[in-house]
Amino acid sequence: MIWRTAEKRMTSTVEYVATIEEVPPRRSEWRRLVRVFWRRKLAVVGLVIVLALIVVAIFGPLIAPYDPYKTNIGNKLAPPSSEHWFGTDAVGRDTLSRVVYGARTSLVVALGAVLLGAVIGQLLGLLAGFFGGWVSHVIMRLIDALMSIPMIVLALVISSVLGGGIKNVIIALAIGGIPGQCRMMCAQTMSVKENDYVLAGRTMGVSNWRIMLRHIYPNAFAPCLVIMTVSLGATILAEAGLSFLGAGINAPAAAWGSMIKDGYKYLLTNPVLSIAPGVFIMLAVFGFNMFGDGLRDALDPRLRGTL
Amino acid sequence: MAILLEVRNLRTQFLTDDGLIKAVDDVSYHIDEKEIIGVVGESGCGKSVTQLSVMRLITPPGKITSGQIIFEGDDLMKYEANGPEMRSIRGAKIAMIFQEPMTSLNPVLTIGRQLTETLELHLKMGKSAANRRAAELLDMVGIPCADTRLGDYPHQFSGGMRQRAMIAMALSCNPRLVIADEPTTALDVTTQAQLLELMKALVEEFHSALVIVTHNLGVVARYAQRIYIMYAGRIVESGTCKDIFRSPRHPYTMGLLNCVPRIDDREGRELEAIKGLPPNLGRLPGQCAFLPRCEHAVDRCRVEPWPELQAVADGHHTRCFVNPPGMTG
Repeated sequence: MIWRTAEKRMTSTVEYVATIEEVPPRRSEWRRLVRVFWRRKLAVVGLVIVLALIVVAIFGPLIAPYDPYKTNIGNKLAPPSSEHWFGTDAVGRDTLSRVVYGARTSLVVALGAVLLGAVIGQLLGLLAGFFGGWVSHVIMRLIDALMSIPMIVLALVISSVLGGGIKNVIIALAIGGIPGQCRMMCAQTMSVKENDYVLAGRTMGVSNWRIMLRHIYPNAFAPCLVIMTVSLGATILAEAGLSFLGAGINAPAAAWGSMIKDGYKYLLTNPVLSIAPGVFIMLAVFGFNMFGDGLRDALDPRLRGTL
Repeated sequence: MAILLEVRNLRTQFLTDDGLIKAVDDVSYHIDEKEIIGVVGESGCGKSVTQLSVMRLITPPGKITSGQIIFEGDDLMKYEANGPEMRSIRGAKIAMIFQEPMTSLNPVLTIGRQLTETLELHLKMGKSAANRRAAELLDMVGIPCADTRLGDYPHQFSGGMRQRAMIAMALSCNPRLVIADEPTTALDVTTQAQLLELMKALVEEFHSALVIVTHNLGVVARYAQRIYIMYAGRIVESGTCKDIFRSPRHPYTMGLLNCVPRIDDREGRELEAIKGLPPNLGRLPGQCAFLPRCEHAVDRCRVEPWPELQAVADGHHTRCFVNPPGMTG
């Protein structure tokens, strides 16, 4: 019905209405973001490290010179040489190949844990912030309880109950990531939901779920993304710690933490066995932290205009 | 003409730390089909809360404590505030335009996406049909190159363009009633005039009724057929546009008129401001809430409770004992 009359209306309305002459220039938010990020040189270094790690993780089998699981007792604990850059371990496996495969483990665990923690944490935070009242009370008290337990102890308990292995380590570390995401999302939601466009959405008859997911979530997401990138580094560290303590990913699977643990018995004779994965852990954590900091600066509206 | 919306004895209250705020207290008004009415009053007098109550969008700590909201013969109070019935009325039958065009559009969604959302929701249009209709709507509100502009984000629009987009959104489902809450307050004067003309033209074409909520009597003078003046959560005077401007009977209305410059003013007339501040809605006396600021008050005003609305002429009501003779225009 509206359809058929639309054409007629258009012609008659346009006569009444002065059209707008000048049109403001288009500014790209995305370009500003890239520019601010690019000016942070350390952030760019971080990004390069992160990208390099991702490449190593994806193309590991092509990069690694040897099979990381193939033992060679005849050539155990070999010092660094041109064939084995980082030497070989106690059962003769090539350390470089194991470090390369370890990048894959670390990234998969870190990404998996952070994403899982973010999904659960952000959903809870969104619900708590949007509905407030008793919903918020219940959720936030649960989160408070979760926060009062040290993350590494919590992860130790979970992985010793569920057992080791990548899947369980991801679950354990994800639980540790929930509170931060939940609190940030809750605070963001509480502030975003006061915006006029949320009320405008309501006056258009949009349902609560749609308002939450379409109108609030995308506007509340940026600070959570920053926490996510920074916590990638922390999660890599936590996974290494768990593996070092023997509650994480165990041999024969290649993981940086368990490599340090296996290597530290030979710290005086073959230090490279522990140093090599240690340096990679350091690089990865540094890379993610610098990248996260740069991202925060680029997304922070308070710094808008000053950078 | 048939009555489209009738609000009877509406009371909306907010329970805050400072006590019970009676934001809307026993307000009754109506609007006919295709009619344009104005609701005028100072900030905080309950105009916006009244309109949000009609939409059933009052959230805690606010509550509609009593009253009827009869829209097209149905009492909206019998529906759940956020239930499917109310959701299908909001946007489709009653639409709203807000004061701040800068903040009433979602910054992360394109203009096109926000326009099509309601079309898909209420009219069950497909994506491409909704897009075409959205472009038509933008064109109708006078935004050039509507097709390409659909892909723009709100920050790429100027204030006036955003308000035009808001008008397009409000009208997208051909609503019976459009509520414009201070639609032009945030815009400069020339843009205000353009947008008011635009709104008037569009509601006429869409056969919608329009409520203009404003603190500026000048805004409604040209467009509204009837005007309701609100003060401290109540309607203090109502009448046709002519009644209100030619023969105002409530001292508050007179005060509002006196502080607007007129083109036929004698030279050197000083604009009179209404002295004092609006009352605290949490601590209203039983007497007339305008009493402390009133220049015409008599002893009766100080002892007796605030009177009900009384007819002073056909269709012209005022809530005042004194009924001082109006200014002669």
